[in-house]
Amino acid sequence: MIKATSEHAIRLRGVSKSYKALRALDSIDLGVLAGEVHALVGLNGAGKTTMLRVLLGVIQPDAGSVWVRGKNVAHLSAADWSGVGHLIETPFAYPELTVRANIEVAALLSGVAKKKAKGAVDSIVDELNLGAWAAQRMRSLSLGNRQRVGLAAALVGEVQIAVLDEPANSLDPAGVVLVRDAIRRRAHAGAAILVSSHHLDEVARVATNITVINSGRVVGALEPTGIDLERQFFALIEADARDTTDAGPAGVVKATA
Amino acid sequence: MTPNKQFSTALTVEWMKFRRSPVVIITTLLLIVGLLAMCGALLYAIQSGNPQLIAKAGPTAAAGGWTGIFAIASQVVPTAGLLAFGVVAGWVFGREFTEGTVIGLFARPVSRTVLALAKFTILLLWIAACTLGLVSSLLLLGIALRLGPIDSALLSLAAKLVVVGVLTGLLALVAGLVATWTRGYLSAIGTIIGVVVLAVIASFVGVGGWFPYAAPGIWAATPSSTVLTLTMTIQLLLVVPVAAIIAALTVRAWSRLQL
Repeated sequence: MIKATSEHAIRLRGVSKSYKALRALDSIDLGVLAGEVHALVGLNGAGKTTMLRVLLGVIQPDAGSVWVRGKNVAHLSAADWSGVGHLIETPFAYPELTVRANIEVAALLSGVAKKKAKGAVDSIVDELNLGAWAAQRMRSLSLGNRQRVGLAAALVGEVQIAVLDEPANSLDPAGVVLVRDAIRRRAHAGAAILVSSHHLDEVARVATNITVINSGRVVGALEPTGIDLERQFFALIEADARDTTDAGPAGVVKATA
Repeated sequence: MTPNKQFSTALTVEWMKFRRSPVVIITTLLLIVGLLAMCGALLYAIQSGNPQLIAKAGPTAAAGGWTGIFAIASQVVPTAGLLAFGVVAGWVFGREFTEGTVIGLFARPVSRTVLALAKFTILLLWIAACTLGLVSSLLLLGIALRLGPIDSALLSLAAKLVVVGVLTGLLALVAGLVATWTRGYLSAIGTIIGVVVLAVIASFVGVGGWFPYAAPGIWAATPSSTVLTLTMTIQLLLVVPVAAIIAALTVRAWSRLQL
């Protein structure tokens, strides 16, 4: 178990969550420090998105606790979420608004002052190369550009913590590079970044830590600079699958005595 | 962020979305322009002596003039208003679920409680503006049709229609609650249609006055010469606590939201 320390920008301690018989998260321990880019990798349905949803208070864990900047999420006030940006599942964008208006909405809701919102929007539009579409309504954008707007909405303003679920989804190679650089810049500035992905190569380029998740459990870690990450990843997954098979059906809550 | 700052931010954000929403723009136009067209057409048909329409419109509307046009509007607003206001109330809350933007409203320095309050504030202002716009347009239509001078009796008819419109709008807020509970706006629209049907049934079986969703319509249908009784006043005032309870339940649901 990760030692409890107030240094962690994000900390999950013994977090479990079940949906009826399916154990989506099983005693997850995870910590992310300021300046780190911590990647969660796993197969589809491994529990990555569920973990991020628990972290942001979208769902309550059945057991364990989640801490953001040293405070238990269960007791956070709205003000404590200032400086936290996120993109989970759907880009935060409204079809009737322009790209610029959508990012402004996200900036205001993130706590950026009205007077500073325009500057913050201009900055992220420039950083993610969204200038050509800034005046267009969201409904007219391609899937990739919608994802870029969602990322802009998550990273606008002075982000101290960013939680990104599959940030490279639908992005073209140019978009992937832009987002990678944007994440690195924020981490260098001291932000704690937690990203989920199933693209090992992409994650290895940007992450400082990689945690492997399978069937709702942390099953190991990978060194981002390591060789043949894919082989290591599958070795961890297969070892976990063997252990689970020995102990009972995968993903099913074990009966307690 | 202070509570006041949160509320002003939430109002800014909700207003940005509301004023550009095609659903809001189309509903507003349909409500005002549609009602004006209906009133104008019915009044014309009555003045042309169409016996079927005269019988259908009832004695007050058949009288024509200012009384007639407001009688027609009073028959239409409780039903059309409930549908129109309900569609928009359901949309404002339900779209966040249907479009998946609701997750983006978590983990923010502007709480979901405040966002729900801002949504209600904008809805109430819009309902009031729509109702005033509707009555003003009717007055302009009547002036254009030379229906007679503007006197205290006419202003009384106009004030009554404003009250009917606002009470109808308050009742339509239930669509926001249903949209929140069911995580989408389609069921909210279905609920509003169901409520309209229930109101009609309640009126038929004679308990309409005590069914808040029927009370404004029943009052609207009474002739302007009818004195507002204490019973009817209580029945109409019941709309306010009903709307307040609906709003409180919706805000509570938003503050405790889990997806």
